[in-house]
Parts: sequence; C-alpha cells; structure tokens
Amino acid sequence: MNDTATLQSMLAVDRLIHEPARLIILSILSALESADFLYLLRETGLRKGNLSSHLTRLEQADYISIEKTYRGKTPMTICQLTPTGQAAFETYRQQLKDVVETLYR
Amino acid sequence: MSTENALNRAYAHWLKDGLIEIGAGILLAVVGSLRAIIHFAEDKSAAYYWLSAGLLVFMLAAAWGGGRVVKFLKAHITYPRTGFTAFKPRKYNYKKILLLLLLSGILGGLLGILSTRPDEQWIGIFVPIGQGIAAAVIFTYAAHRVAVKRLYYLAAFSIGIGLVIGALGLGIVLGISFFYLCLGLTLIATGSAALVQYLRSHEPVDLNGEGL
Repeated sequence: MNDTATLQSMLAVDRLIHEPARLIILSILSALESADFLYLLRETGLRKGNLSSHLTRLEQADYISIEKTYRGKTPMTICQLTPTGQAAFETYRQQLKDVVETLYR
Repeated sequence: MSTENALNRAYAHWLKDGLIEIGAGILLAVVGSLRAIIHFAEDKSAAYYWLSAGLLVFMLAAAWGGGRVVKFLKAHITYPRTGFTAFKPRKYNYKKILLLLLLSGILGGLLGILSTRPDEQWIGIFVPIGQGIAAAVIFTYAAHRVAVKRLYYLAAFSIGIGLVIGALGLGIVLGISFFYLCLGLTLIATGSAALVQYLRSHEPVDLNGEGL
C-alpha cells in the first residue's frame, strides 16, 4: 500500500472504536479477561451515564458482552471483549499504526 | 493507553488493598516458624512428626484454599470499593516450569547436604543474604512493573533482613526459617498498613442501579 492509500485508509477506520472514550474502554478490556462497571468507571474517569451509554453502544455492535452477576453479595456488571470486538480492535490498531508510521516517514 | 499499561494498572489495582501481601505474609510466617520449631524438636520424637505433618498439611491447605480466601475477601472488601478485574488465563511454559522445579530441587538438595557439613554455620551466613537479594530482585521487578512504591521498600527490607539473619549466624536451616518468618511478618505489617490506608481512602460505591 502506498502512502496516499495508507492515509486514505484512515477514512475507513471504525468510527465506533475511534471515539476516545470507547477507545479507552476497549484498550482496558483488551488487556483483561473481564472488568466490572466500577473498575471501568474509575479507570476511564467518565461519568456513570456516559460510561453506560458507551458500553451499550459497544454491546449493540457485539464488541463487548455485558453480564449482570454477583460476587458475594455485591451486584456487578461484568464487561468482556467479544472475539468480534477483539478482531475489530486489532484491525483498528493496525490501521492507526500504519497511518502514524506514514506520517512520521 | 497501551495494552501493557492497562494490564500493569490492573495488577496495581490487584495489589492496592494489601490483601495479597497479608496472605503471602501469613503463609511465609507460619512456614518459617513451624520449620524453626521442627528444627528444635528432637529427631524421631512424636512432636517432630506431628509438626512435620502439620507443616505439610498447612502448605497443602494454603495451596488449595489461599486463593479462595483472598478472592472471598476481595469480593467483600475490594470489589464494592474499586471494582473487579479478572486476568486472562496464563499460557504456561511447561519447559520453564520444569526447569525451575529442577533447579529448586537441586538447590534444596545442595542446601540439605551443606547443612550436614561441619562448616555449616559459616555457609549459613550467606544463605539468608542470598535469599534477601533474591527476594529484593523479585520485589524490585514487581515494583518497577506495576509502579507500587511500597514494593521498593519491601525490596530494601528483604536485603536488610537477609543481612541481619546472616550476621546472626544461625546456620542454614534456622537461617532460612527465620528469614521466612521475618519476611512474612514484614509482609503482614506492610499489607495491613496498605489495607488500612485503602479502607480509609475508598468508601464502598453504591451504583444505586445507575449506569447499566
């Protein structure tokens, strides 16, 4: 792929992942097996409603799965990256890496 | 945020409450003190066999239930305050594990042989110092990786404990036992301090049905 094509590939990046808050959420979840709502809340620094809406969008795209469960008596909302989400996130990372490398060439 | 960075932050979150340190500290302190008591018990006496069996049972129980106890405590203390994370299952390198077990076996056997030599007291000076350095390397690596400052202090303490026990010239078996005991007590102290600070600075969060 030539430089122009690489830069133009930026237009094709997954906009759902490209949003900063969702990118942070996926970065965290890609490193872990799973994390709950409270952990994501603390790590992302988002507000509850904001985080909730981003998680819902990611779930609707089948990028993450959300399960409501209990650990002891504590109710928890556990989020986990799905294989689809993992693949989409890897593709996004590669696209971004190629573009950044082209820009610094 | 890189994946590596996110993982290290999750490890730091896992260590933040001090529960792992307290658990490891209790394990080391009990093993160290039981081993020291066994050392003083008369060979082939009933107490000797009971204590040896007790040590084995404790280690098996700790291996089976230690993780469960920590998880239970985390479910009641940590998850309601700072949230829950689960790590991806590790891909074990069985060749490395086998090599490590083999090396440990050789080292254990070597120490066993050395402990019967007449100059055992002299060798016993260097064994706790070596243990202290080895523990310090592990703590420093962990501290560097997860950026938890108190692990650096633990590295310094480990060297200090090794030097002091080495200087006391307790011999190999007793030196190792006292090293475990002292390191265990230090871990319990630092872990408890971390837990108190954690509880003071983090109240349980009631999401109150908000969010999802």
